[in-house]
This record gives sequence, structure tokens and C-alpha cells, in this order.
Amino acid sequence: MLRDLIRLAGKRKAKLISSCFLSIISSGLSVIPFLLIYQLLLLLFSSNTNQENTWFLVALLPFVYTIMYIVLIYAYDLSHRAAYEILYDVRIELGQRMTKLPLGYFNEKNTGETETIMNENVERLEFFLAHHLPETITTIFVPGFLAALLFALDWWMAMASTSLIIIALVIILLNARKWQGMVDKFLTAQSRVNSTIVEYTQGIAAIKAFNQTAESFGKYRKNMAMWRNTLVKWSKETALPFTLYQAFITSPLVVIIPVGVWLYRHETLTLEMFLLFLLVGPIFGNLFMRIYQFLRYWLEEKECMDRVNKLRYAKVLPDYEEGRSPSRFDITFRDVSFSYDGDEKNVLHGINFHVPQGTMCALVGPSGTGKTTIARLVPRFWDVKNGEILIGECNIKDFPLERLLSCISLVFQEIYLFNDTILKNIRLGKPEATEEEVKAAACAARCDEFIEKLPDGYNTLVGERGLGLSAGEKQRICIARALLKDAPIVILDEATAFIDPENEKLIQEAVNNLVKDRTVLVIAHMLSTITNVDQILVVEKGRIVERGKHKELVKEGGLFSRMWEAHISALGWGIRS
Amino acid sequence: MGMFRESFFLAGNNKNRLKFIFSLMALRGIVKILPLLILYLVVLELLSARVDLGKILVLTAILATAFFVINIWDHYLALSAMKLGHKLSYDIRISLSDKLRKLSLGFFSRRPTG
Repeated sequence: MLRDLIRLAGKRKAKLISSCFLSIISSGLSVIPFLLIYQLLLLLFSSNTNQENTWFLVALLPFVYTIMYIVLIYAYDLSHRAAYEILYDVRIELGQRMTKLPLGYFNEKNTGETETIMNENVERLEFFLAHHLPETITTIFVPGFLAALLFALDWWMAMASTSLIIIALVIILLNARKWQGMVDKFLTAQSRVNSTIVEYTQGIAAIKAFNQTAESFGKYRKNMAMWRNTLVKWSKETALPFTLYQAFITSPLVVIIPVGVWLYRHETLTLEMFLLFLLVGPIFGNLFMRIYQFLRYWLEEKECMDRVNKLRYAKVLPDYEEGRSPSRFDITFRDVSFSYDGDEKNVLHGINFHVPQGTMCALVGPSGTGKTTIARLVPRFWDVKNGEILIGECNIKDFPLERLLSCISLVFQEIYLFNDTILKNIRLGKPEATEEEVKAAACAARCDEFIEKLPDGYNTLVGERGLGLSAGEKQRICIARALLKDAPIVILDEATAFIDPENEKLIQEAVNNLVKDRTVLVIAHMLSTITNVDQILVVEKGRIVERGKHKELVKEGGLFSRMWEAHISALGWGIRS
Repeated sequence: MGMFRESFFLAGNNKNRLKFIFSLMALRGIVKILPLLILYLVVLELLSARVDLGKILVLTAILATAFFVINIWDHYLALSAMKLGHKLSYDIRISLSDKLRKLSLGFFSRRPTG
């Protein structure tokens, strides 16, 4: 944990260590008042009380407390500053790390899980660094220094004061072994709750449309109940050990009084010393109350740190600062096989094809056969298992990732717009583009007609995920973004799926502008949109089973021909009145 | 007081249980003074002219009994409070999700999901 902490602190290590050091000094100072009280008792019970000395000791008490709190405030100030700086660094690092992770990482992880790490788990580190770390130090060192003082004053009475506390600590340490598993379960349940809430709020339109009430929203209820049950189970399992711990640490007087009476009776203990232990004993026990809390915080926060570190050190794609640049933009797949991480079974087997520069290649086939996976291997969502993918004469792994992505425009079926203006959403394709360039791209993508009707035109806020726009309008903004990027390779993944006929015509026009003179890989569900492409690859069960031009494939009478017949007959469907 | 009123409102059908737990917590605060009172009596005895050690030991026995009772009380009170707390947060989350279902879609387009 400490090693992880130092790693996490990075450049802010010195501040964090200074804060810990100041907390230890403050803990040492907190014992001095007990020593002064003992001196006062000695003076009060002595036969000739020295007034001057008594007042001196009384005056010293607030002075010691003032110094102690000044040191403590400074320690907290440092720990807070270190914490916020560390968290800023960690969040920036996580943000940068996410840009370097293979895009496939985000397909495998749900948004809620990553959000929990970025937000909640990192937030818990703030509690740990700013509050719990210095407090843990004082919680350990104050009783430590006080125990040393008590043992220095009277060994037998110190034993009496600490005996029940030692039993309490043994109970809690034996029980703490089970805690790690419980903390893990709790944080997993917490993460699932977050994912469920994100999914629920994002899917509210579907929930309303299908009248899924909160009661019947099975997954939501199940995960909430799991979270509640985990907490109830944890509370039950820790309640008895905690009660025993609390009982032992709050009851040292039950031992101090009889032992003190016995020693006092045998004249081996002075009255002043007995009174001091009666005063300090309960305070000493109560100091241990917080150790239990901090032990729990410590475990929870360690688990949070582990989860944050898992993302910080998640395997990124191998990349180069300097690398090759393609001189041509044709795409070649050579004997490509692929399986997802941790899965031995290949989803693609020996894929071979070549898309010459400036031509269009369509991938068609039944759902779940690997078309999207083939297309997503080009921008390195994942790396291939065997074989190689070339752009021009170079393997895509030899390009710096940034350079590779700058060569490719991606238009997916799932559209993502940022909660910003239309202008800024289009400009994402080329951040340095002028307003005229953005408008020209929007015009080519057939966006201008609906943008001009909006109250603030290009400066209209699209709302979160573009909720203020229709699916067709959002898709055309994405195409405008791709047009502005002006990349030599275009990948279209079912860009016109689920679009109404009117929008489909406009989107088709926009797509025609986008693909002009570019190397294009298109996944199409509407076979009528790819009749004129240069090459069609028919994919089935992760293999290319047919290839050729539209007319050739129809003549062949294979899978494509059957799909085409089904498509043609579907176009003739209607509802008879 | 406003905070208490809000808590009772949020508790819904469990309002009376919550009130009962709050009352027991307040009473616990009073009972916790008992050990300090016994300690005071022990100190008084030690400072008296003729120290009665037997009386001090009796006071110690009362103190041990008080600690025993207080800890049993604490145990059951903490368990009930935690169980009720978890139940309330579950109920609140379920009823909030139900409320979200009844809101217009415009509510979500005007507000970021986060």
C-alpha cells in the first residue's frame, strides 16, 4: 500500500511525506499536556505548593495545545494541497491513458465501470490522501506516544491500562482478514450500481416506451438489492467483532481501578499517580476507537487505489513516437486471424483481401459473422493475432497510432455527439478548421438545410448525446465531421441503418461526397446501396466465402445471391388493407 | 430540526422506526454519562479522609455492569440503524427510478446525465 502510495504521489511525494512527518510531531506534542497534568497533580498534593510553578504549568498547557494545532493545521494544509495536486495528475494521466488504450477496451468495459474508477474511486483517494492518511498517523502515533509515557511513569498501571486494549486489537486483527473479500464485494456491488444507474438514465426513452416501471426493471432492482444485501451482510458480520472491540477499549477503568486499589493499598502507587491513570485511562482507550474506523477506510481505499492503478497500467497498444508514413492508401489484409483477449477461439480465420487506393470495398454477410471486427482492425481497435494489415506498403503496427488514426475517418451506426454547439461537434474532425471550412463540410454532408433552420444556427447546442436532433441529422453531422477531417481512408459501419427513407436519401448523398476519391471500406445492410462498389466481400463465420462485383456474385448463386433475393423481396413488402 | 423533518419524510412508511431509533440514540447519550458519574464517585472516595476500598470495588462492579449493558445496547442499536439505513437508501433509489420513468423526456434533454 505504501509503495503504491508513493508511486501514486509521483512529483508530490515530498509534500505528502512532509505532511506525515508533521502529523507525527503533532502526535508527540499531544502527549505533553498529560505530563503537565501529572506535574500539576504532584504540585497540588505536595506539602508546600509552589504557586509560581503551578501557574507556569497552567500557562504552558494552552501554549502546547496552540503549537500542536498549528503543526496539525500545517500538516492538513500540506496533505490537502498534495491530495488535490495528486488527484489532478491522476485524472489527467487516466484521461491520457484512455486515449492510448485500444478502442476495443471500451467495448469490453461498460461505461459505468470506467466512470466509477474515474470519479468515485479517484474521489476516495482524495479522502485517503487529504484526511485519512494524516489522521491514521495521528491515530497510531498519539496512543503510541501516550503508551510510552504511561509505561515510563508506572509499568504496572500501564499494563492495567493497556491489557484490555491488547485483547481488543487481537480480536479486530483476527477479524480483519475477512474484510478484504468483503470490501471487494462491496466495491463491485457499488460499481454495478453505478453502471446500472448510468444505463437506466441513458436508456430512459426505451424504458418509457416499453412501460418498464421501476418495479419491473429487473436488472436495476437486482443490482440495487445486491448492493443493499452486501451492505447488510457486511454490517451483520462486522457488528459482533466491533461490539467486542468497543467493549474492551472503552472499559480499561474496570482493570485500572482494582489494580490501582491493590497497588495503593500496598503503598507501591501514589495517590497522584492513581488519579493520573484514572484520568488518562479512558482517554487512552478512546483513542483506539478510531483505529477500527481507519482500518476499514484503509482496506476500502487500498481497493480503490488498486482499481485506479489497474486502469493506469492497463495494457496499451504498442506505439512509436517516430514511425513510418504510408505513401499510398490501399488496404491489404494478409492471412489475418483474430480472437478477443482471453478467448482462445478465433473469430476471424485467414482473412485475405486488397482494397486498391481510391476504390470502394463492401463487407456483407449475416449478423455476427465478423464484418465489424474486420473493419475495426484497420484503426487498431485491437491488434491481429496472426497475419498483418497493411496500409500502402507498411504494416499498420509500424505507424505511430496518432498518424494511423489521422489517415482514417470512421462513421459508425452508433452516433456520438458532445453536449456542445453543432459548430464544435463538426470541428472535432479538424480542430484548426475555419468557420468557412466547417460550413463547407456541413454543406457537403447535407447538414446546412436543417442547421440554418435552428434558432442559433451553427451555434445551437445539440444537448447531451445530441438529444435535440433526429437520428438522420446526427448521422449527417458525423459525416460532416469525417468530411472535414479529409482522411484518405473512410470506414463506414452500417451508417444508414435505422434511418428513415427521407433521411436515407440525404445521407446517401452525403456519403457519396465523403467517399469520392478515397479508399473506402463499407459495411452495408442495404445491399441496394452497394451495387456499384468495386469489390464485395461476403463474410460468413469469420471467413470470406465469396468475393467479386455485384453482378458476378448474383450470378454465382451463393450466399450473396440468396441475400440479394431476400433483400429484393423485402423491398416489395407492403401492408394489405 | 429541518434535517430531522426531511429524514422522516424520506423514511416514508418507516418513519416510526426511524423515530424510535433516533430516540434510543438520544437516550444512549444520557446513559453514557453513567460511567463518568461512577468515576467521579471513585475519585471522591480516594480523596476522602478515610478511603473505603470496599466501596471503590463495589463502584467498579457497577461500572463493569454499566459497560456491559451499554455495549449490548450499542450493538443492537447499531445493527438496527444500519439495516434501516440500507433499506431506506434502497427504497429511495427504487422510488427515484420510478419518478424518472414518469418525467417527460425533455427533463433528460435539458440536463446532462452525469
